[in-house]
Amino acid sequence: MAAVLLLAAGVADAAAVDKNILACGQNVGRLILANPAVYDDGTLGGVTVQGSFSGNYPPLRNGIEIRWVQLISTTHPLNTNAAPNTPYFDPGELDMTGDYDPFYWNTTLKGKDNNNYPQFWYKNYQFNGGQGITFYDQPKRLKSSAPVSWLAELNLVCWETGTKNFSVLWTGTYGFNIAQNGNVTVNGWNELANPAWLTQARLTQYFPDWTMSDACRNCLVPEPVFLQMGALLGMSGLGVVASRRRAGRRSS
Amino acid sequence: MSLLKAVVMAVAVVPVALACGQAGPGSGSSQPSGPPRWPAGQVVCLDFLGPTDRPVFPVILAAKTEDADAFVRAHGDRQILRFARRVIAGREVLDCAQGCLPGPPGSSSDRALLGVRIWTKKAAREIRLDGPQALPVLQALQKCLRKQSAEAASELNALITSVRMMMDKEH
Repeated sequence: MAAVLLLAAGVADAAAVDKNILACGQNVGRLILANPAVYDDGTLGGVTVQGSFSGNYPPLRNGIEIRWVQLISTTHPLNTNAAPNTPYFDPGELDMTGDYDPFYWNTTLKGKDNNNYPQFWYKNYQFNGGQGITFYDQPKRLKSSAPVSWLAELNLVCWETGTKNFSVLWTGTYGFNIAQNGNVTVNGWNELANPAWLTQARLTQYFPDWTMSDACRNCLVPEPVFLQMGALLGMSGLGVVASRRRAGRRSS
Repeated sequence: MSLLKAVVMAVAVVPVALACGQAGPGSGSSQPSGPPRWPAGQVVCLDFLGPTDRPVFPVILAAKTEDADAFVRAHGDRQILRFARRVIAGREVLDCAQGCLPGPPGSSSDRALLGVRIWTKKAAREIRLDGPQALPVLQALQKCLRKQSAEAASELNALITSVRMMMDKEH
């Protein structure tokens, strides 16, 4: 199965990340990310990364789509007013090929300048009828600008199509450095328990109407009412047993 | 010397793509005058060469899918070429595009923003263009692609806008 997903994403190298992603203890899909590889054409240095996420529907509920949100912190920011070494959303807010959403691939075919950008439209990176999505990045900087550091925080998120709300399912970082002598090195995947740069404050700063919410509530098929009631009854039942035991101890 | 190593990367600046659809620089000086013809099996690959955060994928122009496949197989950068945007165009569009292709020499590689790889199974060359050279070439090619469809023409938007943004940054 993993091999099939690797092929679907065009991933040739051994995967650095290959795992089931859990939300509320439920397996929402499989994340595969290849080892970041050095990019060096003599003039530009950078890193190549690719991967995919294949969602499980259910427990993911209909109307939910999986997207990527990436933030960058670099000595040499591009297409943004962010200061060096200050996280900004990728693409930068001044990138006319981007749209007005916080996602890595554009939500709309049209960019900020009203031209169509099919190569950035997220629909062109979905597979399995929209239940999976590919990730590919190849950031580069001029070697003549060295020293350069470039670090990305990639977030896998679930998004209720059409809304301005998403929930984080997984976070990891990767990047590259260009040394003064032009030597390009790569930072491999580092998984984080929670996003560090993708905060509600930063999201609001760049995308004022957008919010982040709990993945359990936002992404998953709601449990049937009788199961929820059963859980409540079970808990109250346990409470009754415990109080009887306490009462028993007091009386003995 | 391999075909890849035989790529042309010269330094001088030349006017390019002045009159597409007519005998232009890309049609080759040794050819008899007359409308340019897209050679059988030829593939043109347009690469953005500037710094980026999100990648600007190459655009491959070919007459047949098999030609584009052969080009991708023949190249070491096939990883990104798998994500390349492909435009499979008809004879009229390709002949128009042939007249818009730049002739060597191009730009010094450090300032180059666009790579134009012109490839057949027998010969390959690359012309690198800086911003002011690249923009008219891309716009002329886009004009040709409009004869195919608006969708085909839109495949060049990412290259055009990326070149433009980089030019704005440089000034």
